[in-house]
Amino acid sequence: MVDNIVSLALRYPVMSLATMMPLFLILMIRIKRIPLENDLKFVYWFCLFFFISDIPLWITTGLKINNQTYFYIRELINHLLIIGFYYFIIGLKRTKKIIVATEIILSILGLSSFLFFTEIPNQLTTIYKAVIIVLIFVHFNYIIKNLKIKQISDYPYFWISSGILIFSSGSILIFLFFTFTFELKPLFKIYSQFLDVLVILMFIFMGIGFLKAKKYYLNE
Amino acid sequence: MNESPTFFIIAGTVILILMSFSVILFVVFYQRKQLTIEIEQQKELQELENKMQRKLLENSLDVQELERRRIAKDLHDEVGAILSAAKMGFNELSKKIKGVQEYESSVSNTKSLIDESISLVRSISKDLVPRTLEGFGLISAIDEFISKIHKATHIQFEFNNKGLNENERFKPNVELALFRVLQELTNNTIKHAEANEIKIELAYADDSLIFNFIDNGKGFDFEQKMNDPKLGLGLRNIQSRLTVIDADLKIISNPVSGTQTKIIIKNPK
Repeated sequence: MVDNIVSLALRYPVMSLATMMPLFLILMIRIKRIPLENDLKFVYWFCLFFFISDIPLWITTGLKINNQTYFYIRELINHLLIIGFYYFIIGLKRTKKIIVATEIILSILGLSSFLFFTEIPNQLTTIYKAVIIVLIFVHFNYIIKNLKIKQISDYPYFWISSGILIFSSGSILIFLFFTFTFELKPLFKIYSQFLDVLVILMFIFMGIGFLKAKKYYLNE
Repeated sequence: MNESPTFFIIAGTVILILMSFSVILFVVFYQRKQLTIEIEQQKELQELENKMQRKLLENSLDVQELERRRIAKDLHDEVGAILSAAKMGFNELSKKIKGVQEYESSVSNTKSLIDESISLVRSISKDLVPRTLEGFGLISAIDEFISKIHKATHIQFEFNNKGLNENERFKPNVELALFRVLQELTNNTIKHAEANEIKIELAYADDSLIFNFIDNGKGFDFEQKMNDPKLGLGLRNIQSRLTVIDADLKIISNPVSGTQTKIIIKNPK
């Protein structure tokens, strides 16, 4: 199994890097002693979850076990966590209520589709991504309207949101046309690696956000 | 059938990613623009507030001057007149009791007390409203003021005016503010500095009036005086008066060489 995983990692270095990115981020936070103020803790725990939950995917792939169900559940949780993250950083009561309602609806929708359909409803992920994109727009609008932040490039959540936006917008069509992307063998590898690139990009942006956090909270 | 969606997916994804980057850049630039607008608005508001505060200060100083004028007039016209009448009456009385030896010393004492009171009332009235300043200008007023202080305190004065005529005139508010500042600075020197020499310089160059006041007394810590609410009232008055006429104030003080106060007033005419 270990040999299989190692050869897989060597064959797909981008995928390996995508898996390691959240771990690198966690190590950077620890080494640089970045203050995990307020909602950055949430992002930190998200990174940890992202990394840990990726390990079973490697193991099952190494053991050549079908992990599509696990992949779907993991995607579902990841997206729900990202949506939940906006509950904390958007300081508007009405939006918070909408986020809670959306979380509940999407959880029910995700689980029921999974339980009642024979095929894994990967296309549903598109809805999650669309919701996330909308929330990012709301967040950006909130930043502009509130103007509490003097230098937006020093605001950690701006970088985190930017990373999530690139990840979500870059992968939305891939999940919408799941049957043409993941279910066709020759294209699967390309799309899968492209998704890994998006993950790497997202964590790079998050990393910048965390690096900015130190300066931001010192100036605040 | 497969080729078409693949192209659509790739093109769509590229467009979406490009749009994401555009949105990110837009947010950065828009927020920066909004912030610049807000900073400018805040600046304008601050300027307006400063203007209003200056106007208030100007009004309060005007009221102060008007009150001084009223008190001076009352002293001169009312108290002065009463004292003059009392002096006349007393002169009449003293004529009647002339030759009565037991009253002579009392008469003489009372007479000198009345004379002293009259001259004191005149002096206070004159101090309250600088008539020389109004009539003959700043240089004459300074001359008169320093000779009066020299007589009373024996402090040596040196007054130089460069590039100015004896009858040179400036805006009335500039003349009055500078004269009041001179009074305040001299008062501070007499009260706190233990100085025996004061040098005053007045120069006019490049549309600016430069006023220098240097004493050889013991200096003080300017920052500490200004931050202490119990102290520095005189200094605060100086600052207020100079704020109203848009003047720059610089005070250099140390225990060895005394205190130097430099005031620059732009467009004083």
